Amino acid sequence: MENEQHKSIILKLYIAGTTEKSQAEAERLQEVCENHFPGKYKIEVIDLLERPQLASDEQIFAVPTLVRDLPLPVRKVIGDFSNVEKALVGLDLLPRSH
Amino acid sequence: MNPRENKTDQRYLKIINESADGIVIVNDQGKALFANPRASALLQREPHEITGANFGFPLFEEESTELQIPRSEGTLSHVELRTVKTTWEEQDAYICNLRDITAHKNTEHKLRESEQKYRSLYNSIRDAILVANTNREIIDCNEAFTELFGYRLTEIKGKKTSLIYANEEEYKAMGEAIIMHKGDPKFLFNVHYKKKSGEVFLGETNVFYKQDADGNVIGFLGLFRDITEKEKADKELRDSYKRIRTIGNNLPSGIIYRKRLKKGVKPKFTYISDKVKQLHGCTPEEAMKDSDLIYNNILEDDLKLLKKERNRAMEELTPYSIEIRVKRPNGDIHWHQVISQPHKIEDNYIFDGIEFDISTRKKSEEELKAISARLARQNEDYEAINEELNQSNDQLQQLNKELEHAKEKAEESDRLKSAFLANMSHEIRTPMNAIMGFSGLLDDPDISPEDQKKYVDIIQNKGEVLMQLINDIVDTAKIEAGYLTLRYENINLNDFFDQVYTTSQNTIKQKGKADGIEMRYRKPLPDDKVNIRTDPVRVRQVIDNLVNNAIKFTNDGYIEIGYQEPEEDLITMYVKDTGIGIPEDKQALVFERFRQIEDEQNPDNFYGGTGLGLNIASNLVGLLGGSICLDSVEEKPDQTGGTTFYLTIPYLPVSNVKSASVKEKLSEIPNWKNKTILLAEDEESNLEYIKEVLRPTNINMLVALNGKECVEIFKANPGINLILMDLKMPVMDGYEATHQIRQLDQKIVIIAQTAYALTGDKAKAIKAGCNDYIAKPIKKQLLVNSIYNHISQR
Repeated sequence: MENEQHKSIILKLYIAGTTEKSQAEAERLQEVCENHFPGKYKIEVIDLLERPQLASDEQIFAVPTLVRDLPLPVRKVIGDFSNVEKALVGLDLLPRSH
Repeated sequence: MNPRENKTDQRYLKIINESADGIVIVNDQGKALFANPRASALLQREPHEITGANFGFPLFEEESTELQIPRSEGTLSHVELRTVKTTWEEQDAYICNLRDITAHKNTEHKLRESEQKYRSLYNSIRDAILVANTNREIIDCNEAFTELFGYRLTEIKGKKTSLIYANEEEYKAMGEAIIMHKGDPKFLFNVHYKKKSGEVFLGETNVFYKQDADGNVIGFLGLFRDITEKEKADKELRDSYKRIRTIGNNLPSGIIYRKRLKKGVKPKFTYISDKVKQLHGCTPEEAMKDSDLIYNNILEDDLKLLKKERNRAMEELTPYSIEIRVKRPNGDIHWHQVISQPHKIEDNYIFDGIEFDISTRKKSEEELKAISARLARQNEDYEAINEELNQSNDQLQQLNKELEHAKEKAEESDRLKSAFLANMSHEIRTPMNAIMGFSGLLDDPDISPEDQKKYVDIIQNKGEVLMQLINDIVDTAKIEAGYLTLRYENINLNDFFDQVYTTSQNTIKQKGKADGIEMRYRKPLPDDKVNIRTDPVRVRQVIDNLVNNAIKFTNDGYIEIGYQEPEEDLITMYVKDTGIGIPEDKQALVFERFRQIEDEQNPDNFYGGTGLGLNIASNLVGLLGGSICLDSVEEKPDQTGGTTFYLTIPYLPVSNVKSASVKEKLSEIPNWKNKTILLAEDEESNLEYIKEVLRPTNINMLVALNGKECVEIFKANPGINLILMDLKMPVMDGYEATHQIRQLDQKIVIIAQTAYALTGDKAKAIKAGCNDYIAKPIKKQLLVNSIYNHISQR
């Protein structure tokens, strides 16, 4: 078991149903994070069709939504994740200059 | 805020609140600052639940993006998000415009599903499909097309359909045909197409019009099938039919046909070849229309047979072959053979068959039967001959074996003859050297009377040896030629053996063996019991030979001669010695000609002799009607050797014997005062010798110096009793003279004499007409005896 205490970045990707598109987004996210933050991150993929309650609990209005739980404060981006780098910039995980 | 501004705000707010799209305004941290009722409805949250919440920073591009909103009932709303940057209460803010596209999305999904369904159908069709627009540019193709033509859609999309045509003309013609047939799919076009590989094939094509909702033609859809194999099969079928027709027409006097039969329906020909005209007098068409035109020609009995065979064939579906008689239009009856086999198709029986004229064959068969019977008889004869040949062959083989044996014998004989000639040379040279040497010594005038006597003895002795040799040869030759005749006389056997005994003792003395050899003699019967009739000269010759051998091979011990008491009609004489004996393996060979004993340890130890003695003895005994055999033990260091020869001859007892002995008779000089002899002799010394020999007989003598003179004197003197003819004479030789005299007189006795006592001379002399033969040098007694024999016979 990985110790979450050691992860400085925790990301949650909210999706609705496993589709080819959502699958590809998750894989791409994993790949980019591995590239930039090897060993320091954790990604959680949450399917709202399976766990609808989380939508209101976590205040998820639409999918796809990517949430930065850590580092605090919590940040969210919604919309098109075809460009993962851009999403990470939106979450202030990568510098804006890109 | 003034009322006017407020009023404007109110107006904008009204628009925003009544907007069909949901509107959420967020700050640059993603916090919602405002949401209109429509957004509240879309997001299924109360406006106050949205405002102040972390909505999320919208990632936007120039174009819109799609989002899903999970609904409480578990479905999804599809929303299109457009984001525009603005300011809100003097801060950077973003207007998020949310439009519900769920309904549109569902339609799109259904459409895609439908298309997917058609696409898979389209691709699963085995016929190749190509879709083109009205400009004949390729829009689409299915997988079967790719498989057949080798092109993938990406390679050909947008290109002219001409690229799949094998030639330009067909491409153009197809274009016109499509328009002409208005896309009616019933029409089929056979066109040559070209695959990507360049291979050309014949395709069968349907073309459909592609129409839009209003019925306008917007393109063409083509279906292609490769019919190369089908076309090939069709062609083969056509060829096959043509072949059958050709075969049918080529049958010299026959037809092939196909006939259909159904129970209760008249047979129908569905095919019949052209020569039916020749066989049945009708055309194929006529025959196919009415099969009776054929059946009516068949003789009634044969038609019955045909029907019977046909019914059987139909039941068993097996072939039949029958011979039927058919009446030709001109009235001739021909034999036809029909061969056919039916197969069944539903209720129909299809007969494929041939029918041909076998009249010629029928006739040949009759002839063949006759020939066959004849051949069978001949065969029996041949078998008998063969049997005989086999037997004859066996005999030949037997004969061959015998010939082989004879050949071996001949080769052996040849070898022995060569050996004999070598021996001869030695045998003749040895005494001849002595004779020549001592004759030369006699020529010396100073020689003492003692030496002279000694030399003469040696010369005479050696001369005798030579004479024996020559006599042996002559005897052999005589026996071989069958000219040796026996002269039977009555003799006393005891007297006979007395003489042999005396002579043998003399010989032993001469050989210097008198100290070592004792001569024994056994006479079991008194003189009056042993008067017999035989040829004493020949018996003596045999006994002498045996005795001489015994002396030759014995160094010490004894030699016994004698006879046994006669048994029935045979009497046995014997010569026994204690000599070296004869090895057991050689005993059977001693009577063969030219066989001589050889000392294997010491080849130089040569016993001398011609190798003819025992052979002559054996032959003479044979002539006398008797047999000779031997009993011998070979001398070895630990055993005494010895040989006994037994001579068995017919026992012919007689009451008395006129002459006391052979020797006495020979020494008696006859008186021939009344006899005349003609001497033909060119050599004066010989002439003198003969005259001297014959003088005591008081015979009258006439002399001829050559053959011619001899003939003349004979003509002039009818009282001549005998002619003594030298064979070698000048002017005319003895053969010719004899020949001429024989033409004048068959009975006159002619005795030939010559220096060469050879078989050939004797045979030649006898052939020329001579009665007898005397070899030179002529012995006194022999000459007198010979003349006596011939003159006394007259």
